[in-house]
Amino acid sequence: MRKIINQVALVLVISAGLFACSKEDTGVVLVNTDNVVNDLRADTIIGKDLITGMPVSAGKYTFYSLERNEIVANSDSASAKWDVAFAGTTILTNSGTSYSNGIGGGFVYKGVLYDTLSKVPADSVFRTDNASASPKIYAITTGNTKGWYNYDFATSLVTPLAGRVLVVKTASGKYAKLEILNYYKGGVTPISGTEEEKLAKQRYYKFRYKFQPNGTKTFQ
Amino acid sequence: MKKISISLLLVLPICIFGQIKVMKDTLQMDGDSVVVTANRSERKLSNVTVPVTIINNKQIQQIGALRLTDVLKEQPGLTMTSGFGVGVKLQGLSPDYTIILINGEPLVGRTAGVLDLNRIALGNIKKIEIVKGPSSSLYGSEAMAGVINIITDGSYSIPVQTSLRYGTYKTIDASISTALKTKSFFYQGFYNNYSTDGYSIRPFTASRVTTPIKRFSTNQQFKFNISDNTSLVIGARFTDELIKNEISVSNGGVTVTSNGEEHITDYNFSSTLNHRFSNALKTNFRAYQTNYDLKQSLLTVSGQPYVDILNHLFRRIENQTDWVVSKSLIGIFGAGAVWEGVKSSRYDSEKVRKNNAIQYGFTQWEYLPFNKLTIIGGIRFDRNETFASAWSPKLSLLYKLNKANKIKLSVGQGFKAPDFRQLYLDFTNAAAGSYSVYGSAQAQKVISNLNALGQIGSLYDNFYQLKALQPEYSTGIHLTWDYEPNPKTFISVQAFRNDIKNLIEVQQVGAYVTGAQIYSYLNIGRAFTTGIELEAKYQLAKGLMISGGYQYLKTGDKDEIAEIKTGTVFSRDANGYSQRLSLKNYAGLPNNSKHKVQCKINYYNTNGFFANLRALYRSKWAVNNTNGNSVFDEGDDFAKGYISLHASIGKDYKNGFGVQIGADNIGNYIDMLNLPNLPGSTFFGTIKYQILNKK
Repeated sequence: MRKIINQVALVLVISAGLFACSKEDTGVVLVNTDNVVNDLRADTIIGKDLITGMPVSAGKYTFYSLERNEIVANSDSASAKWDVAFAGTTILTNSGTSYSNGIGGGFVYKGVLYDTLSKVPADSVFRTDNASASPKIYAITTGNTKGWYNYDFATSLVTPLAGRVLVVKTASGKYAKLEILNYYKGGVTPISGTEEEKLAKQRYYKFRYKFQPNGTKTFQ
Repeated sequence: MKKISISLLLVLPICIFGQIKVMKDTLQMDGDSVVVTANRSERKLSNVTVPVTIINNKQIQQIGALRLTDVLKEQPGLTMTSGFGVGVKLQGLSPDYTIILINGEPLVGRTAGVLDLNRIALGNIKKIEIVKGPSSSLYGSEAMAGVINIITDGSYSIPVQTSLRYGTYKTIDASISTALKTKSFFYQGFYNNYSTDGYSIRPFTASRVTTPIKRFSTNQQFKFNISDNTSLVIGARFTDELIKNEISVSNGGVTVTSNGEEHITDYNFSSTLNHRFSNALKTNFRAYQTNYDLKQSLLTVSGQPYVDILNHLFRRIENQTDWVVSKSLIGIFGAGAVWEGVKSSRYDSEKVRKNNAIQYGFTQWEYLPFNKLTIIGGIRFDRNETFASAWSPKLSLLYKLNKANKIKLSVGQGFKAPDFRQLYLDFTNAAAGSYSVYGSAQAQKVISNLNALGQIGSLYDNFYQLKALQPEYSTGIHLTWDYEPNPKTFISVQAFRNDIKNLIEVQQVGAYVTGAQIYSYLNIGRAFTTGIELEAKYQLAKGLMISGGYQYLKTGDKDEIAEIKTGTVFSRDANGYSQRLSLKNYAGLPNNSKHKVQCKINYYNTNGFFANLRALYRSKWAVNNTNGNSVFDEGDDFAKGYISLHASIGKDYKNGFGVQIGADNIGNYIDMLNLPNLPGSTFFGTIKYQILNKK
């Protein structure tokens, strides 16, 4: 019974989060509650190369602060103001050699449910980014099925893998858990869309996360 | 969805139990039908121990079927697939696992395992026999799910027969058949020309574009009766096909047009020498050669032509001897050798043919210990040069309880040899992330060489497990109960299960320095298909028959089921949040419908008039994995279940003229993404003329 009440409360909190993070309201620090971020653009496709026919993007990361639940300006990329950054399917942490050489990091926790992940195991290894390695190494593993997504060659669709949680160490050395929910505009995968629609609608992240401001690795 | 299937189940019994009939037609017209495919020797249908369906020439004509696809799609237990032409799934098993024969000789030329059934014109066909269940004990590789054998007419004596058909999308089908018969010589020729402006409802283009197709095919058959006991049969078949593809893709106001052309030619040439030593002993020698040649070219606006070739040459010699030891014991023995080779643009060099040779021997014994019981045991051994050898045993029995009831049970092992693609593919897709796929015969060598050149970033555990591929194996059990209480009623219930192991699957074995994936093939999969098939036929009145068929199918990947049971498979709920997948939401192997129903009404009278109405239903099937795991479950993308209606009426006049009109997909059901081979409603009209022998 108690569990049900908790779940109801959680749903209420989540819906509060949904409203709280609409664009006008960003910047509100939501302490250890679930926040949902919708349609975060991550180097979206802006056109098409007329000669090769390949889609073209600006090649820019979108930087995000999990602590303050807001987008961080690109001019602050070399600072500790951001925690994660998105471009296409690549996700940076503020660590290693990524822009600001911060003290953050992270890893993809496989085979776990976001809701039941209440404590990050003590022996977890937090990886860091290494953009100078070849191939580049990221704390949040990249590549089809290896990190957070699956790419289907038949449908050309990217779907976030279920049961995988991104555990992030923020730029200030605190912890957050994050689940990618969708990669397409409006949070809806365009299954029956045309190839053009699939390109135009991709690279819009929908994710939920919980930030723990007290520095522990527990999420309650 | 559930509601639809339930209501159909309610309708079905009306078709089946209310009143039924179909094959009766055959039985009444020709007496007890003869089957050759089940035993590799002529047997009465009523004495066959395995599940067999016969579709005769008259049924083919009355539904107005032109291509093999048209007739197979209306059979219980069979499902058509799209992609690389139209393939057929038998009891839930992919098109790779059903061997397609013409007069007992295999057709070749498969793309991604699919043999396009539209290649086969249904002109002078006497009948089609479908045997369900592993039949490798007689037919070797590919006969894992079953056998479809197309038997051309070798009997009629109508000197000239012509027909002309016109239909939607400017579809024109014209054919002429000729026959000549003397005491010692028989000739039969068939010529067919088919063309259509096509309908290609391509999902990724701005407009509906058409795919014009031109196909010419001819069959020739000569038979010489050298003596009363010796005959020579020579057969030749040739098909030439041209498909034009104009693909325009527009994006942001810019339209890119590509012109594609596909040119396919294939021929078969066979000669068979039959000799009868006595009533108890006969033998035949067969020599066969077939060649399939495909050339695909694509010219894009940037002017870079892209050409893809595939050529498959297959040669076989074979001997089979039938020995009637006594009234209750019959044996057959056979042995043969195959040489085959494939050239493809997708191998390391398109100029070098990759070869394989197979030698095989088989025997089958039919024992009738007493009147009611027939037991058949058989075994075949295939020795392959480029991959592991295979044994294929089979045991089946028929028990006639009484006049009305028959029980058939068969247990057999089937296999499918690794195909050339799985052995020799050498393909890098520059258009999609530059990933590569290497066939297992050379993957280790190629990747090691690349590694020495410093191009390999990482090698997976799978790489070290690469070895000579084994054939894929299935074990099939079929239990059939035939009930024929009176000459007007026939009911058949069949339960089946196929367990497949050693499935060859594409696996990532490593990655380039750039991160692009490298794939190869490994024998790792385990799967099953199981279900129930129901067939019923009833003669309502003279010439009026009603029939129905139903299939319930359940499939699954055994490794996926094991993973789901351990709780390591996740899916997503309506909010997109992860949840653990439970077995009850597991959807099994993709592209399989749980329920399939066919209902047909046929009428004909002695004036030559005929009419029929056919309704086909297929329940939803999983097509794309979209909810964040690698298994198919209820949260994934399904194609909707649908019903299609078909009808035809016609009349054959006594002076040799005949007319027919028909409509297919009357409800105009269209699913652009999942049923690209199903156009909207189409209509046709046919006139034909036969010069009859005046006696």
